[in-house]
Amino acid sequence: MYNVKINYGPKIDYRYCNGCGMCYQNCPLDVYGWDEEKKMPTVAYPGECSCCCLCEVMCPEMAIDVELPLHALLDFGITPASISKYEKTPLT
Amino acid sequence: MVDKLEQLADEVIETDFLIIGGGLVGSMAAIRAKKKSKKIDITIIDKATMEYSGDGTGLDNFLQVPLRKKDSKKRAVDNEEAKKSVFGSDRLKGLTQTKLDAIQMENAFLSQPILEEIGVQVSEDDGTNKVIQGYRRGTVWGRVEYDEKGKPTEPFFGTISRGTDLKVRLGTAVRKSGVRVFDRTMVTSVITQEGEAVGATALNTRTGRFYVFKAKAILMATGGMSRLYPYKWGPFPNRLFYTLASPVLDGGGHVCAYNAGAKMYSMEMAVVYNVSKGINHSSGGGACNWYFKMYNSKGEVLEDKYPDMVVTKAGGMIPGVNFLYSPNMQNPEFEREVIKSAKHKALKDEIIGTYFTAVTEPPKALKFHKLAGGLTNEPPAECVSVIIGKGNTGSGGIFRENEQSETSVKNLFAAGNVVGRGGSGGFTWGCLIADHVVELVKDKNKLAAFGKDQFKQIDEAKKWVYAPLGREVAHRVNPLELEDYIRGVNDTFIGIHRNKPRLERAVELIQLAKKGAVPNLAVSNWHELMRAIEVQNIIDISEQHAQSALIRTESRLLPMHYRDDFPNEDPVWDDIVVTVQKVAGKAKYRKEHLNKE
Repeated sequence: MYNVKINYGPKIDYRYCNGCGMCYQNCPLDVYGWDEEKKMPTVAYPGECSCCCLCEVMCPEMAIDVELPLHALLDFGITPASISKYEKTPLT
Repeated sequence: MVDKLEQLADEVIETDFLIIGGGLVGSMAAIRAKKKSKKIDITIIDKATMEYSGDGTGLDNFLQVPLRKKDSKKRAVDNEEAKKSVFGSDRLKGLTQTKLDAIQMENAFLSQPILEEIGVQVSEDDGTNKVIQGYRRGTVWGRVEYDEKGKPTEPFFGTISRGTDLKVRLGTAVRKSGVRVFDRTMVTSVITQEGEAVGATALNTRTGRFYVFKAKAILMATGGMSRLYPYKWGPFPNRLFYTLASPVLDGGGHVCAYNAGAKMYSMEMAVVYNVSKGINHSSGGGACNWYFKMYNSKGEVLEDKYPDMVVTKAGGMIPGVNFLYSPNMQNPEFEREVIKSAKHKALKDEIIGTYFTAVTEPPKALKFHKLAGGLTNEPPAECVSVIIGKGNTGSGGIFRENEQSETSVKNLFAAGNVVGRGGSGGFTWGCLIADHVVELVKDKNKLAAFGKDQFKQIDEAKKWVYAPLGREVAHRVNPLELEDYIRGVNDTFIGIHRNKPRLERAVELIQLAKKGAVPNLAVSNWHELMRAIEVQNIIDISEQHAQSALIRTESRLLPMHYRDDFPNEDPVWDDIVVTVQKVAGKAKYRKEHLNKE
């Protein structure tokens, strides 16, 4: 719907996606589309993502990462620089 | 005749009880009705999917369950108290239906056995009823603390259960109970026959199928209106969807009920939140009913400085949300100052509680915490700003005419945020309406026969629904752009500081968009068609929002309705609400007594 590139919203890692369709079935905002040929979900409307991250949690293959919008990160006191630093640290 | 109905609709569904909206209220009503009567045929339509729909999808999702009867002896819960209203009448200062509040209070426990049965653990293993024990003092909610002798410092109001997977459990229970569920189906109109609701039309937003439902009773449980104002920090189009309550809720149920003849009330009110940036345990904090004190730059505690202000907490979709707060409008400190939240260290059990409840928030909350480096007991970052969360949820919406929560349209019931009573209150009304409908359906043998008038209504609804699809016009209007414009108008010309010229300008601009832009809405698929229908609902509600605000020439429930030109609460307006009803195709606004004796 928009030409401006939307950076936030769900990102599907197709290396892991098994095409179960949980995300497509359950996204409250209907952000996902469905590729009939490949039998895989697509991110059809990333601009309409509310970043609730339900898809990220329900994906059985952990193939989805919802990127949070910059304004939300900064409002929460998270700088993009600190994210990369954090991700290198193992979770405790 | 039957042939014609089948020509109009892709599918005709006959049911006893049609529930529009599969959120907390709709699910609870369905389960309760099925428990009361196995014979009753129930159909639910839901714009998303049952397990993840509505505002209860771990969004606002603390589940506040009132104390069990045996625990409630600690505080006198009687009708009189309910009327005085620990339950909100105070806060709503003559803007709530006290009779209905009393009924809600008396029946506050109805939903608890059902919740326990489907696995929402309200009681602890040792039989105590806790997780977080909350109090409510006037307008302030909080967490009960204990003194040195182990006595609670405040009387209990309720307990906050874990509520984990609440909506998933409810959705699953509904499907198991044999209720027919239509996911991805949005209501587009309510069909009436001589002032009685006899059915509804709906659109499947995936397949474009057009359904006609025939029903003996209808429950409108479509939630609040989360899309009247923009989230001001987000860029377009994110600011339309990064909202404080579920952005699925556009107010479509309000509009359908209104068009069918239901009366609406208190449409001028807006819910105002303070969003606190970067509180590292805030989302759980909101859910746990923790209250963070707010300070100005001089270190003054605002709660002490403005004792009359409305302070309560709200969990929410945005992790930083903690407060529902009324700035002192004559001294709008909140809008000029840098307000910070309390710098107290989180206690260990608070952190545990946060993890508990953060999992019932949208998973976004946990993700934020993870990105921020986990939950710690470091003092939170601060800075609080005022933003307008949503429309009038909490004090208005569809007007309920009687103790069965029936609207002005016979057999059309309404409950939950659509009437301004969400959360646990919605659960209670879901149960009460279910009980009533089960009896109603027993007495009613047949579905209403549709005549010419009903076919006309269906035909009109269908034409209206599909009009934007593939529309050929010189200038195509994108529904999201139009929505952004309207929400911008609401923010600029209605907002928190209202006055006559600005409100009149809002009405002008909204009507201009209605006449000049809506006819050019053009979309190319079913998903976009859903957005096109939604924006038309948002425009209709925005107009009622502005018009009602114009009529209410006083200020009340600051900052829900503040008029710069009438800055004081006027006793003349006590117990009077602005209502709007469609009469002969036109909106008729009236001033009416809310609690007529």
